[in-house]
Amino acid sequence: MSQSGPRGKPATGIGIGRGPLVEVHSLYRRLGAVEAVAGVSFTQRRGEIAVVLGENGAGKTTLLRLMAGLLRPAAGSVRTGGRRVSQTDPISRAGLAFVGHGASSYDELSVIENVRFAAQLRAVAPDSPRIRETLEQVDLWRFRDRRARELSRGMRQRLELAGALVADPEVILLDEPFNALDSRSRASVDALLAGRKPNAAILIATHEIDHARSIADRVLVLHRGRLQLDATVESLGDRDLREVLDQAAAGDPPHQPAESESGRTAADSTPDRITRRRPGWLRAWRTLVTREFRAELRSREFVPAMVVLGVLMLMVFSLAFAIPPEDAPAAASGAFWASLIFATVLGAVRGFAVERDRGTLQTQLLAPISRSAIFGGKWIVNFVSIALVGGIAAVVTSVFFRIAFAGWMTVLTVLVAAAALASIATLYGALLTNTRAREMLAPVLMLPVTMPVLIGGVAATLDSLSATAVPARLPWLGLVLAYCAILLSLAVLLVDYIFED
Amino acid sequence: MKTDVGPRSQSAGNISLAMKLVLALTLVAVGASVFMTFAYAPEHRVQGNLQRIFYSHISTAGICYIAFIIVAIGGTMYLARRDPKWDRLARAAALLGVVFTTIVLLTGCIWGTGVWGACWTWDPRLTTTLVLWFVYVGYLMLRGYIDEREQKRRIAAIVGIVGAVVVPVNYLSVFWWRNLHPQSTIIVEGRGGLAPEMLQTLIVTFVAFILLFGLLLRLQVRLERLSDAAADLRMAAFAKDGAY
Amino acid sequence: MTSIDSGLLLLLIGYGIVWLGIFGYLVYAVTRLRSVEKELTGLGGGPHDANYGTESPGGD
Repeated sequence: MSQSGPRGKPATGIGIGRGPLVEVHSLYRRLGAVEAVAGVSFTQRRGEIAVVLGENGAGKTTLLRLMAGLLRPAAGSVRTGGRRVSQTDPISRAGLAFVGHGASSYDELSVIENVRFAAQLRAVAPDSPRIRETLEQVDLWRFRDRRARELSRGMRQRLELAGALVADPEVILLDEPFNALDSRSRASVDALLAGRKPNAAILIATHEIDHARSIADRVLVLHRGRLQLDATVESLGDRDLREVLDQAAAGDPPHQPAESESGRTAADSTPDRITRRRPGWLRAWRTLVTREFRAELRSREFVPAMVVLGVLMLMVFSLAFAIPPEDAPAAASGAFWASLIFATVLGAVRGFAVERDRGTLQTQLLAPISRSAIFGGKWIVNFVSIALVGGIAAVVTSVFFRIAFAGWMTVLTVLVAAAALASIATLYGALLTNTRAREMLAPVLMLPVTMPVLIGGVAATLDSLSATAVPARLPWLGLVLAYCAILLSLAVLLVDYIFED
Repeated sequence: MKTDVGPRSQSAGNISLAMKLVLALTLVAVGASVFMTFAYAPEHRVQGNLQRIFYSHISTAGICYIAFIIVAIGGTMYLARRDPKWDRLARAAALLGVVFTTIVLLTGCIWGTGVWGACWTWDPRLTTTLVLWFVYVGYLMLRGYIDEREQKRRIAAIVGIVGAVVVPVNYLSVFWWRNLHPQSTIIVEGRGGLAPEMLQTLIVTFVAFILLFGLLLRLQVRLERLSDAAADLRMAAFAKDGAY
Repeated sequence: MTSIDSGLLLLLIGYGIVWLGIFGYLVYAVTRLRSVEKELTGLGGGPHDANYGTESPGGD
């Protein structure tokens, strides 16, 4: 689906005749004890490159992350194309691009797969010519089949840029984009940005003062979270930017925050519009799921570990209890479900946590897709993993306990239980991404919540093993299914709060 | 940014009249409860004097369930309003919840030992109370492992809400389990067939504990508020000293 | 010991646990309250501040 607004005539000067594309108003955000961004306001028009300068800790990164919708402002607002950027409003992120420190691309995917993934999350078709074009612009087309983990740091940085720019964003936010680049790459990125400039408002946070001067139309200086200077490069004349920075840091800006709006007419204050494209929920979900499975199939990081863990636990249980043959069904039931639940709880910590650690969750959070699609993507992967572990564990249980454990009823019960367990795993996995000691916290928090699944599962399988009539077992499945439904409903209701930052 | 709102100003800076009344009422109720428990309520035919623990056991059990509902409500309101006072309420209720749940589990154990010789049974109420205990403890542990304050509040709120959901579901599942597998549990004598004096004692005891819980909750919320204030001041001092 | 006596003993133990628990909590809460109030005064947010510890502890 696409939504576009009126665009006005192409600019000859810096967006003259058009309203602001980006409006930042009294933005405020603390990080811990520190006022990272304190009351920053400015606007930007299409066709302008602005650089944000400031010493370390001045708040440049925080400002950009707030503008990209990765952080929630405590006060104030950011509007792009007249629409407020919000974590709960996916459309507001359409037409925006952000490239931060560190990689947000997937190690196991190739260059082109990464860019396709980013493209599809922005409703660009996987076979679109734009993908090739963008990769050629960053000079990565010839490396398109290389895995991202094999790229040098500079190449990785260019990959990040490609992913961000493939959907033709109209607001481009770059945090230290030139850091890892050699002069040749730098020149090609400059050219790339110059090419995008007529159609976009570009904001670059950087330390490279001289380079900044050569590409920028405007300079913003941040100091301790406050905007000390907002001036066009022209108006600064021949002044050394370093001097300007030092003065700003000393609290003594050479200009008042610039009236760079002077000469604009009243009509220019109507916000410029952005072409908004976003994928439908189902399409976004499919894109996420495909990526997850592809990555897991290649890295084989988690499912094998969960399977091994589950089987090992079955072994422990079988050996730990001296079980007379008549008690085998009860023991088998118990051991199976205990092992499945432990494998889930211990394996579930990974999903979101790893993504958060590696920065790849950011790609999903930046995209104009709803958080529930992200949740849904992880859920299905967890469901399949748990069901797989359950299936294998059922067979192993039959072997270890010498009973016919793996029957149709067990399969059905495992599937229903896997749905409930996946809900728990995804929910707590998402919640615990930013906590310390999550490997220990996860079981402590999750195990009590899995009790109904444990009881329902054991009851259902015990019944099937004692060959009671089928109807006796169905209420248990109903209970677990109802529990799953409750958990998923809660997750959907709370998903925006879960992923908030 | 929400600022910390202090209590409504009281006259003379001392305990207000309303508060004094509540304190007095609580003391009276507790006194009445003790009297009725030991002297007024008749001795149980089968269980003897030990049965008298029932009044406190059931009352404190009721309190724990009220506490977890407060945790869930506090969490929900915090997410909706972002006012720290709701988070403080949730925290306070969780801490008191642990205290009361521990009391319930221990008194249940004592009762069981006396009546059936078994300290523990897997009946629905005890099992669900145990699960609840773990939910509270997990909630408090979680708070200890998140550093950033807003995040801590938000995630704890969600965990509190989800934790509340498991309680009724767990109760139902153990209840079904027990009914279908009577040989694996012992039936706990229910509330049916209570003599009127017993019912009266139970009501008075319950009221006494509710009042007591209310007072303790208020105390704990105040403690949380002051802790937050101290943390705010510490953070401000730290920032002033040049966090850069 | 007759069963009545042991029943009574257990009752007293159980009752003791209830009130021990409550008093234990009270001791903890009051101790912490005192120390936090002291810290607040030290940090400068103490008795002069209408929002904080002006009331006597244990009641509002």
